[in-house]
Amino acid sequence: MSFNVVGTHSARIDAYEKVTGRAKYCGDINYGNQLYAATVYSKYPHARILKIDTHEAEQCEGVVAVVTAKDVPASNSMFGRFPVFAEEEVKYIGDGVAAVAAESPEIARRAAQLVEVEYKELPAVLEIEKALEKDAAKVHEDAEDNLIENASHKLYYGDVRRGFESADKILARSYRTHFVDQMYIEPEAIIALPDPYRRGVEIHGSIQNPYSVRQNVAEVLGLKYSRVRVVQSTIGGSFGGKDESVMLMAARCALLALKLNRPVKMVLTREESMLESPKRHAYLAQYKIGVKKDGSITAVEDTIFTQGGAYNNKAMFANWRGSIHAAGAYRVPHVKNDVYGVYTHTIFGGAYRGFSAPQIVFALESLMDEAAAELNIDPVEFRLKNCLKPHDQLPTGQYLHPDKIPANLESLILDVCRRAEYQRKKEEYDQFNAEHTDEKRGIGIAITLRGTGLGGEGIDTAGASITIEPDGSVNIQSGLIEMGQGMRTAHAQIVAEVLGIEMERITFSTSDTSMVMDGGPTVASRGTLAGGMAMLNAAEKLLSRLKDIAAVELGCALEDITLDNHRYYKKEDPKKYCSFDDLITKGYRERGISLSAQGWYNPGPEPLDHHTGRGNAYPSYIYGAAMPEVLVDMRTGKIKVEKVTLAYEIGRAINPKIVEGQIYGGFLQGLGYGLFEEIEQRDGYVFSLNFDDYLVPTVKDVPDFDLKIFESASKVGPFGAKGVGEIGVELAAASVANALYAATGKRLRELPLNLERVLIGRALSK
Amino acid sequence: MGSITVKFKVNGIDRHITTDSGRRLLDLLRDDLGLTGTKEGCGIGECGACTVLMNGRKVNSCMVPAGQAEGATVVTIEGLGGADEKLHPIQQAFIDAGAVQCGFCTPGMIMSAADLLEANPDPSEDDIKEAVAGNICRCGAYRQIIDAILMAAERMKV
Amino acid sequence: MQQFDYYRAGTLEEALEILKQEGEGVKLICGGTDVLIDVRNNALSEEVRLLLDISGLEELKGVELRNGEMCIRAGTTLAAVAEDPLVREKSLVLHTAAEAVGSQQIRNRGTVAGNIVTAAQCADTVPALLVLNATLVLKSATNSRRVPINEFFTGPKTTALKPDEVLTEIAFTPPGSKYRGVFEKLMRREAVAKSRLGLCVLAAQNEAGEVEDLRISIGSSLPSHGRFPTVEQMLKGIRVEAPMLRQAGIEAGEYMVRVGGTRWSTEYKLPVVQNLTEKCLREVLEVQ
Repeated sequence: MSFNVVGTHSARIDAYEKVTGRAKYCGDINYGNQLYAATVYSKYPHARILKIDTHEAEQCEGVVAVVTAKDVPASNSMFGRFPVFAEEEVKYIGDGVAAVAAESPEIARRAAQLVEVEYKELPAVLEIEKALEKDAAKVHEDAEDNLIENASHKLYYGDVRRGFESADKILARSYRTHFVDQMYIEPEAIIALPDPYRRGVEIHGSIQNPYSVRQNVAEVLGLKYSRVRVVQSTIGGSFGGKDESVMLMAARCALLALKLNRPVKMVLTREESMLESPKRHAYLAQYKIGVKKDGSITAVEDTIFTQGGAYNNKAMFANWRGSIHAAGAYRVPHVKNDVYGVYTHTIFGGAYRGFSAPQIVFALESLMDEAAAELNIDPVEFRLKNCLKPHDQLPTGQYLHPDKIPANLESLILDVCRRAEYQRKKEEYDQFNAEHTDEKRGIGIAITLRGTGLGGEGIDTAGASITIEPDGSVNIQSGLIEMGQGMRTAHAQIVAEVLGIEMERITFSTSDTSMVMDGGPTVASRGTLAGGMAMLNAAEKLLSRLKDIAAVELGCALEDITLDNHRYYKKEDPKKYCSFDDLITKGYRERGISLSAQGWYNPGPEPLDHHTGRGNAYPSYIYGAAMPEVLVDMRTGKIKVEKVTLAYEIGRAINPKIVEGQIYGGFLQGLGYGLFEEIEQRDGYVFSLNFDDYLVPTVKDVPDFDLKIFESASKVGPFGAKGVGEIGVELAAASVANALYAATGKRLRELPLNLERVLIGRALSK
Repeated sequence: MGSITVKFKVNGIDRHITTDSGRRLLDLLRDDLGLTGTKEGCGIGECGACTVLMNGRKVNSCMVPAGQAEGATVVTIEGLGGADEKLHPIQQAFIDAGAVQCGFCTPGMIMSAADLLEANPDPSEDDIKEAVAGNICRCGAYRQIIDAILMAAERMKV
Repeated sequence: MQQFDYYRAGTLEEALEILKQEGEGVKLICGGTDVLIDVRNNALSEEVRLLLDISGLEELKGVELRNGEMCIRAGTTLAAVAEDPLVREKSLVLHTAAEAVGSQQIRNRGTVAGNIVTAAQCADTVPALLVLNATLVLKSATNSRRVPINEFFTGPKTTALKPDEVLTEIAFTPPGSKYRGVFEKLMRREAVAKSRLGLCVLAAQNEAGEVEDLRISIGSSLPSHGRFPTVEQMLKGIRVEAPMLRQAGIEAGEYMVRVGGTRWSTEYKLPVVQNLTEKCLREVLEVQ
């Protein structure tokens, strides 16, 4: 099928303002009479708050107010047990205890240093194993233990005991991953304005989830939702990090704005962002796999603990997704997945691109390689034999019917092997390794399957709005948000395709909770899948109206109207046509027909029983295979990823250039995660707080990419586009760990694969 | 802190700012002159989002004390395009090559590219990587950024 | 953030006079790439009340060959040093070391002098200047003295610079044509990162293959910057054979532990120092 706009490298519709510097991110915006707020952060990872003395801070010239928990109007408790201000206890080093509003950000921060808090330091529980001990101190007193509520998920299929009994070999392995930070270049920024018309507040900011910020702020202030308007500013990257915890900033600024009747602006320093924002959950993944001599898998059993930190930001959702995917892209007749979240007095886990996948894929794909090695079977052969194939059944019972849910793993694996010349390279590298000691080379593989959309995590709704203006320009607005992933452009392409118009006609309004129905967060790679379907829905409504107007104009039945090459015409008589602008004149101006429509996407809840874990976890799946080639310096432990051959099946690429960007960018984040990104923590304190100590990939860290995008006859998503925002991150750490093994014979089961681990087998700390 | 007066040229216009000596060139540009295209990502000269041209060289404006801008000629992203909203070839190439995602690193990245192409109109890929090594793009659009700069160099040769 | 007064010196003489008057109350700022970070982190000493900006002093800028000696004025940026044709031609290693500091943006502002006086363990230009046997010119209002760089670092992050002094010039005699040099920086990622280890080696051999001179310095390995004299002694006057390079590497590791003790990072650094020393020696020496 060929399209006019969908499937083309259309230029991004939000690029002009970004390349000119005209794009206004929240930190660039200023309101008259605005105040600046700064948070007073905890001094300890765990302590009782005995007394807060704001007197000296309040006396500072330029300070207008200092607020604490007692100043919170209605509820100090937000989503995930987060307090607006810690009241009795601080539970981790980034807990906010008070906030200062002042005439300049410098005064606010100086005054914040003068707020005197008396603490009684308490012992801190810092590690998963410690938190699980029987007599461990509880991070949350009212909880039963340190297991995060609603974050224990399981998926059982078949009988693993039987599976292990029939195995020729059983491997039990433990894998560990670490906290990492999204490190978007734009630090979080919020402005709260008192809104006299709503008798509430208007909040602007770098917000990935305007609706949850609205809900939480409304509850904090004791207001109805419609009295809190949240408008998303241009966001300088989020990757999940600005998905929830910006509500802390929003709540603090909002309550100050209402109290003082002035706009209140808060922009975090990089150091504050590192402390206060969510991280990728650290994992302890204990796996057991049974395999037969012929290479088939008989059973997979796993117990996975995810370190949630001090609060429950997303553990329940991420762990559910993890429980579904824990046995990965494979045919496994007997599966037992148990995933638990654990509280500790540390920085906390939340949403980060991939949302359990990079951790699980690292563990599982390492395990698969280990099993293959144990059987003396090539890791590619092992995967070809065991990967999911058309008509297979997932552990939840869902079938991969080829005409509904294609399962292309085999062709992706064969494709990367062909393009990377796997056999030849393997032999070449084996030869190289026999001849060299200082350097070693290796080629490795990892594969993944990823459920698209929210699936059983929640109801995958989204809203959209399109207005065709009287002069033919078109404005679109989505309930989901643009954070750099290209969603707005994909939406515009969908609208342009459906209505038969040029991209240049289309402008967008930013996401605004007062304008579009709450359709949920922009997560799970659903900006195009769900958001695009909502936009498609609105566009199809308008198309129908336009065709109707054309039918009346051209004197024929609605079914006889065809849209082609920007023209609406009668099938048998193409010379008589109406242009888009004609239809506006005829329909809107002359007959008063509205050319504005709302779209809504609601696939209904997935038929999944959450108690038994049986049913359809996701409407569809996307797939990936990665084959990196590494050069390992055996003198220093440095891994250089020289080339990566990638294949992904994502349904349809609405914009191939944008898709490429999502995969390259995601994979590179995955490389940083796998190789050198690390948060230095000791005793609950955080020491790597900025880009000098926390290293992210530079341009020189980019390997030579060879990517092929596969499309399929997907029935899910607009034009079959299933989503692509996250899958890029999943395979990097896993595939490089496998390539490292191929190169050196060293199997590392802990991330990151930094210099020390590669050289001496373990990480060192001060 | 002391008060100082800084006289410097920004995007071709003479400016005269009296300010606190503890402020940085980045603050003068963003807050005093309203040139918010230059961004603050880290405040310690590591991310490159604050890159501007100062006396013909690219610098991290978050690391230039206000007093050191005295007598300087500064060019920011706002000073790059032509008149009437015409885009500089580098800006156009960034759009055409798909090198823009969240856009926060983009102004600094483009200034680094401008600095490179001024000195070296025919850069190799390695030259380009060296030139933007100090500009972090967390969205990871580096491949497209390199392509954009190659594209701009090609177009600017004509 | 700490608060200070700020003053731009018009001449070196003026700056030295202010230093004489205010001593510890003054912090010199030139490129600013280290000082501003200290300011942000509230890391300057409590006595500091004035930031004295010497970045505008033309008399502190420039590179020249003077009476056979390379002279780099202290306010010359790292970029200027890295790009200078004389430095590239005469120093063998300094331009590579200067180029390894930070990013181009940083090098366009930061100075070699700043890299030296900040005395961070990971300062990239210091190992190069150590193997070049550089001399530092330190001036005060009343005195001018020349300090060999290997006497300049007196302890971790401590130097011989007095509170009333300015480092005005770095001088070294260019190694002769028999010399070969190498600079190697180990980082956790491919660019723009602090050095995990930074090695610099200069060596000269005669026609008979005997080592006439050998100079080695390894940044981020010792408590304070210095050379590795026992390794240098090991190979001087010798016709080098491959196994000796391995021995020299081992000695480098042992020297590091003898001088600095066993630390949390030794388990990693020891083998790497051994390996990279051997590697660098192989690059500068002809092996029989």
